[in-house]
Amino acid sequence: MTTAGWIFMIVSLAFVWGLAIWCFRRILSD
Amino acid sequence: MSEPREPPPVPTTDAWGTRLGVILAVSGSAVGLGNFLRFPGTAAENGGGAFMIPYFAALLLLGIPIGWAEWTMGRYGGRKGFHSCPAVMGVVGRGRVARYLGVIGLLIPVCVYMYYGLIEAWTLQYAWAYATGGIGLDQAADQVAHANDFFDTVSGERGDGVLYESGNTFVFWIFVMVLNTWFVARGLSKGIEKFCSYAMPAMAVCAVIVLVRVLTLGTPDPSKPELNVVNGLGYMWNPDFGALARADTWLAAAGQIFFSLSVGFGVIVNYASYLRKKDDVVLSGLTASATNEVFEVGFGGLITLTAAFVFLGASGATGGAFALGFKTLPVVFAHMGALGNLIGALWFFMLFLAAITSSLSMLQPVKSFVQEAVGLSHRQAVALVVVIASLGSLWVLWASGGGVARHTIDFWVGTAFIFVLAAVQIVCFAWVFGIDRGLADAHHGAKMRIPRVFRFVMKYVAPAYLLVVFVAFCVQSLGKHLDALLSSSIAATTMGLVLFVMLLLCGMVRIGEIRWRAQGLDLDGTRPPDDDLEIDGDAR
Repeated sequence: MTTAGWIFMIVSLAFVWGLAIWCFRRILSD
Repeated sequence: MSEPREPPPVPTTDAWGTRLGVILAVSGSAVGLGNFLRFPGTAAENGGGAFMIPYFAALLLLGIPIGWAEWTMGRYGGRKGFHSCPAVMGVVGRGRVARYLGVIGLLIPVCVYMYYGLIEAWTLQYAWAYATGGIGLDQAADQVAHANDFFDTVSGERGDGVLYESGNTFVFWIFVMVLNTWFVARGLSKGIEKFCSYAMPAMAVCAVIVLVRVLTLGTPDPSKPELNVVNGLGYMWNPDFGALARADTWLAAAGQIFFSLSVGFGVIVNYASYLRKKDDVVLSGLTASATNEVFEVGFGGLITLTAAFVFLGASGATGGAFALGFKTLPVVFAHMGALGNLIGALWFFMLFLAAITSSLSMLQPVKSFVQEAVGLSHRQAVALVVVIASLGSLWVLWASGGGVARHTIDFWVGTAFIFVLAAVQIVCFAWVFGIDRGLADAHHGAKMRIPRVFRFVMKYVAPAYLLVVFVAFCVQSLGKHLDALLSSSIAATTMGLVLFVMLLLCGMVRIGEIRWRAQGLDLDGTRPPDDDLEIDGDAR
């Protein structure tokens, strides 16, 4: 796995998980 | 202040129980086999990690904006008493043309259900086989050949069809049909919503367990140190920036986002029509999309290819989605030792849950339509829709040899028509209904605001993006599929079945028009709903 591969994987996972967690926190906090 | 509402054409008891319930139901509709099987293969073939650039671009420019439009249109149509895609499109698109184009929003779910139910039966049959001792790969001399044989027996695609094979697919198919019918008959809240509220977390738990097992495989064969988890992840994620220069990569990314999120499918419009004016659609739509992305990128992007690569190398990690899921991964599970059958059972049960949450969403929109257009009761509507869908599915089952019927519906209805409906929807929303009015309506009850830039995206970028993708898609695929259609009697008969269903639905729309006019409903959207007057003052 190249450094660029790690970066793309981590950034992609952070984006989708971050977006989902942000959305569900807002949904559940109401 | 009171909010006068127009009466619904048929009194309906359908309603969502909770806000989270509708989000999980829409997410369940979106999360399907494509998340776990199609996405990783498409990404690896189109630049690996670099594929995520066009992929996320398509998500932001196509998937999320069209999804917001669908949520908003559905809720708006529901406020005027309509719950089906033709009726809602007639209101938003202001007239008969949009209403009849909205029939596509019924044709897609009911026809896709015809073959999706069969695939659902495969997943359950595999899960059952693994839960009761495996599929016999551990005793097989040639595991790859045995896995292929098992799939051919289950699918019936090698010979004359699954009815002529020795497997139990027909029994599982009947079970799946009955199960789907039972959940839809229970109604929106007690059936689909309740099932999804359990199935989605269960799917996530299965995915986490399988993911943990895959990521802890290490280097299973010390004699082949290059076949390890890190290199397996690299196979999926190492970027090939050269792929970004190819138009195919951008088309593949748009296609993947499009089909994965279930936009242009006719489901979101129906589900959102049961929301009230004060219910949020913006955050809910984004959350449903985000949930789908977690299953697709967060699980699908880490499990499937990594597991295949670790045991079988790069050659094992290639092939189509079905080959990867139903032929390659069973070989991988056979290499996992004592835990192989458990992981296999969890994997296929997870696929089954993904399939059934999607298939339920395919029956509900048509059931709602039959109810409101023809005036049938809930039970009568369920019965009629189930008979139509099951007879169609029986045809796909009978003609499963070579998979021609499945491929025909998948391409013409499950692919080409989705582009058409999405284009109709975004044009109606942004240009006929009006982008400012549409966004203002979306913001009623919204828990977050749609960023201003999406006004431009929804009005110009998404339709143009869609047009380019559709034209390129037609240029690439239409010719060979037209040839296939004309050269096969099975394919031609299948297309005849699709056209027959389309005519049947159009006839019901005509009946609906007469009934809705007689009831004084505003089926052409010529006047705003009474509560729409409140829009002008805020939320722009």
